[in-house]
Formats: sequence, structure tokens, C-alpha cells
Amino acid sequence: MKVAIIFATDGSDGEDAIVAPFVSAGFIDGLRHNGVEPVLISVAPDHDGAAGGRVQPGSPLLRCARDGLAALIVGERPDAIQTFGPEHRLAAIWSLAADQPLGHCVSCWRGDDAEASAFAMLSLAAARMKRASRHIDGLIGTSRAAVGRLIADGWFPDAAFSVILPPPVERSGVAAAVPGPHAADPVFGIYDPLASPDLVAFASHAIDLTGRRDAVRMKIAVRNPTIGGGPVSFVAAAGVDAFLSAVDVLVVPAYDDSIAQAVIAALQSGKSVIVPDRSGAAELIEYGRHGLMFAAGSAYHLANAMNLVSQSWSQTPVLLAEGGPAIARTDPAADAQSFAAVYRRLVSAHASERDDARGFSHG
Amino acid sequence: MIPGCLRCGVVALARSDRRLMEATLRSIARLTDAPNATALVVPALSAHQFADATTNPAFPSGLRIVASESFDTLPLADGLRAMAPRVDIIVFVPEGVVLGPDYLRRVRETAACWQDMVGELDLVDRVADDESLARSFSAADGPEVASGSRLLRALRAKTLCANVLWVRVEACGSLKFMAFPQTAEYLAFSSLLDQLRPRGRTRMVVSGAAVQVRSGPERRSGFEAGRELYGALNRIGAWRDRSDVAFQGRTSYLEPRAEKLRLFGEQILRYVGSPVSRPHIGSFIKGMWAARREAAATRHRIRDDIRKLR
Repeated sequence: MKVAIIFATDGSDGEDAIVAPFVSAGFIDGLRHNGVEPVLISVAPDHDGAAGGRVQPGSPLLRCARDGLAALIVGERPDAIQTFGPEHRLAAIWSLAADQPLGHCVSCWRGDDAEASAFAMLSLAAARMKRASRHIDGLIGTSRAAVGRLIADGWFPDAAFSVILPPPVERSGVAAAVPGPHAADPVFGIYDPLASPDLVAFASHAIDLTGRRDAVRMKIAVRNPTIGGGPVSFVAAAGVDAFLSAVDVLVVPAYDDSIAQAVIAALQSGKSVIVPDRSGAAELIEYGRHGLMFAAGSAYHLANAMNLVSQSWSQTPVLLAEGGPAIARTDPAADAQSFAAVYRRLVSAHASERDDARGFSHG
Repeated sequence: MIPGCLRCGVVALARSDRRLMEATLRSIARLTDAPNATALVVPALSAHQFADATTNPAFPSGLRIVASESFDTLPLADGLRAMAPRVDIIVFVPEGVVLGPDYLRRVRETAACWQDMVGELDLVDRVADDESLARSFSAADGPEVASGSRLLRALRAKTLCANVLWVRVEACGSLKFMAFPQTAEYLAFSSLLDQLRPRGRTRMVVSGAAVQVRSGPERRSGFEAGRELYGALNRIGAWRDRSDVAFQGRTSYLEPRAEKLRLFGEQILRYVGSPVSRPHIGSFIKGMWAARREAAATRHRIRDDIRKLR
């Protein structure tokens, strides 16, 4: 089965980091192993003369302008098409591929909530996009919250199913820590190369709300570290494994799918994690077993979760360390197997819908 | 996911009426798609009423009795705690609700087909006065069961309807359970659904695949029930006014003000239209009115106290 996977990202670091696992060798090989021949296509509005051309020799990714996509699809003749990218960029592509079995992967993007509400207000633009989304036959989502919010907002009215699958994550080389009693307070860590000043301010506010500013220690790994002050120290985001060896608890103040790698690496190394409850991280973490969750966007609830970890730190070293199922599900080969099953379902859902339509017209 | 792969558990929530609970348990035993686990949550004080439940052949096999310490509030937390480790989906069925034979199959199919769904509340708007009528009921022969006049159905207060709730266990971590009166499961269910809403898709449906059995015209006083229900709505309203995080800019499955209006509206209509139930409805309205006066008195007292402090 040939499946065209179309990426419509803006080429920014944030969006590329989210797309990267889906073009990784492990995931692509996994798809091939499960009988799916993927055709990876990157569509960007600013790609001009390279329509349909292979611009990077050796790269499996075809890059084209939106105008060239139709020709590319006709040339490749895929059995199914799956789109990938922020929904507001995909309406034209969905309309273009309306006749094919069409699926869409809903990912967790940075600032998803704000974007969604903005589009809910722009009624004309939103109505057009929602109308185009009726061509989608089935949905894959990395987060129940994201998929649920879109469907509740009126997107994908004709979709026949939704499947929740985590993004593929390459295995980390970090060794599992040996659980044992901890004498000191835990060191909290945030690994987010693209952290904004707002996110740092949010974390700092949460530390204030713990009421233990002098006792809490936090390391934040960002791309451009600055000198920290008080309980916060900044380090360069070189590698997640090295960072995790220096912290006890991974805190995720804001989640997008690029953070999944850090979360899985933390589970793999037996570290505690604290994640927002409305994100894709909620699909990876079993509350109280692999980690804790807090109400997304609430510094108060994050502070509560940090206090809970700190208070039980010396007595119960384990809040977690049972991340096996989440680690297994995000394995690229296992994830690819699940994606392949969805592609087959997509084709059959489209076929049955077509048969229904034919029956209706004949009837 | 294949529907059969999802493990479903049914939690029957008992109040005090053995006869109504029997009707519910029998309907669970008749489900064509048998649940993977069944539990009956009863207040510890009335557990003796169901002492034979585990051996009764008319009840679901493998029925587990969970005695709840709460005797005047809906034991939702106990039910969830008892069932969560064993299943993927939990269906909460209150006393007096008779499920159609296909009910669980539908739930399984919906949950398997839409993995983004984390909870669904089914408003049961069909009422039968006789259990034998409910027993022969199925979704296909729905129209045979009386469901009240169209006007009454439109005006019905949701808190007076029976409800069935299903939730996806995966999404239920760190839920908060508030204490609600036993008779108003809609308050408890909508509170859970409101908490689940940011975690995935939730919805309210009127499936018509379940029916509520009543034990004939109510002859007891409705004063306490009316007072409890209206008081609970008042408390929810006051709590939300104070809470700046939990409900900021969020829609809810329960609007206390609108619900109170519906309650009064429905009860007045019933009072006028149903002479048989008039004493019960009259006392129910008096109970609501008493709760309203109590809430107003408390508000005034607090305002006076604050004024004195200044």
C-alpha cells in the first residue's frame, strides 16, 4: 500500500522538531516493514520552483509548492493520503485530495489553545476550513484533548473514526536509575530548547507558589542559557540524556509533541515527571504511577504537584519508574505498526463511504 | 481498536429502593454484550438489603458488592475506585434505570471508534411506571414506552431526569469528587464530565436506549428532596462564582441558574397538570423555596458580617 504523508509546516524550528520523528529512519522502516510504502511530501507556501522535485539528494522527503501538489499526487498515485500540520494550513490540501482516502494527524503544537480560540472567532475563515475538513475520513491524534476540541468545534464532521497514537520516539541511551531512598529535596528540571520568557516566568511563579522558594532547586535547559537567579539555573540544552542525569524530576510546563522525547527519556531513566493534563503527555503518563499531572496553564496546580513530589521524596522514592507501556508504545517500530493499521482502516472506511454514496444514488 | 478489546465495567449505584435496584440489575444481566465486571455500590447502612445479590441467579454473574460509607451522597468515587483497575470503560447506572439489551454494545462501539472520547452522559427521558413494561423494552420498540408530553420533555429539568454516564478510565486521573445528594445524579455526573472536558471529547446524548422505572405515584413528602436539590444547586453556583481557575471561560454541562428556573417551571406545570401527584410536588416546591430562603438569609448574614468588620 502506498501512502502519501503530506507535511504542511512553516519550516520553523518548533514545527520541524514535531515533524522530525515522523520522517525518522526508524518510523519509515517500520511502515515499510508493515507493508506501507510512504511517500513523504513537504508542502510549504514559500517553496517555489521545486514543485515535485527531489531537492535534497538522498532525502526521502519530497518538497513542493502547494500548486505542484496535485501533479505530484497524480504522479505518485497513493492508495491513501495523510496530512500533518496545523489545521488552518491544510484546508486547500484537503480540498485537493478530496477523492482519495484521506486521514489527518492532529498533533500538539505550541500555543494550540490560543490558536484554536482565535480561529473560533474568525468565523468566515474558520467556516471555510471546517468545510474543507469534511473530506477527512479518519483521524489520528497524539492527544485526546486536541482531537476532542477540534471535533467539538465542528471540524471533521464526516470522519468515521479517531485513533490516539503517541508520536514515535527514538530510544534514548540513558540507563535506568536505581530506585532508592533520597535524602535531599529533588532537583526539578525543565528541558525545553524553545522555551519562551513567558514559560520561564510561569515556572518561576510556580516556584513562588510552592511557598518554599529557598528549598526548591530547578534547572532549565534552553537553547540560549542566561545566568539564573535564586532557585533557577539555566543550562544549555545539549542533550536530553545528559540533562536528565543532573535532575530528579522532569517538569513540563507547556507541552508540544517535540517534548515527548524528553518525557519518554525521563520514564526510561526512572525519573519522575510532572506534565499538563490537557496535552499529549497525558496519553503517556498514568497519573500517580508514572508521574503527576497538573491543570494546564495553572501555576498554582503545578506548585501543588511539585510540593507533593518534594514532600514524599525522602520516604517514597518512587512515584514512577513504571513507564514500560508508554516506552513500548512510542517505539518507532510499534508506532509504525499502529499507523499502518490506521491507513488500512482509512482505505476501508473510504471504500464503504463510497459504496454507501453509490447505493444512495442508485437507490 | 476492535470493540471487543475494550474491557467494560458496569457500576450500579444503589440508593434505598430494593425493587428499583432489582430492575436495574436484571437489565444488566440481560445485556447481550456482557460486561467484563459488574459492581453494586450500596450505602453500608443498607447493605443488608442486598445480602443475597451475589447469589441471585437473576442478577449479573460475578457481581461484586461495594459498601460505601457515604449514606446520603452518591457514592461515585467508591464505584470508580472499585472498578478502575480492572476495566477500560466504566458505565455508571443509577438505581431505577433499565438498560436496553444493546446498551453496552453501543457504548463499546462508540468508545472504540472514537478514541478521543473520554465520557458521555445519556439523558434518560423515557419513563415507565411498571417494571414489566421496562423489561420488554428495547431501543427498537421505543415508542411503546411513554415518554411524557413534548412540552414537558422540553422543559424538563435535567436534575430530575435519570442519567447513565460512561467514562474512559485512562482519562480519569486526579478527578475531584464533590458530595451531591443521592437523588441528583445529574449533578455528580455533570461535575465529572466538566472535569473530563479539557482532557478529551465529552458529550451529552439522548440515546433512547434506556428507560427509567418509577414505583408509581410518589406519596412521600418531597420537601427534603426539593430542599437538598435546590441547596446543592445554590452551593455549586456559589462555588463557581468564587472559583477563578476551574471554570474561567469554560462552558459547563450544568448552569445552576437556568437549572433552578427549569426546576420551578417543571414542578409548577406538573402541579397544575397532575392532581394525583399534587401533594408530593407541592411539598417539593416548598422544599425548594425553603432552600432559596436559607441561601438568601446566609448571603445577607455574610454581607452584614463583612459590613461590621469594616
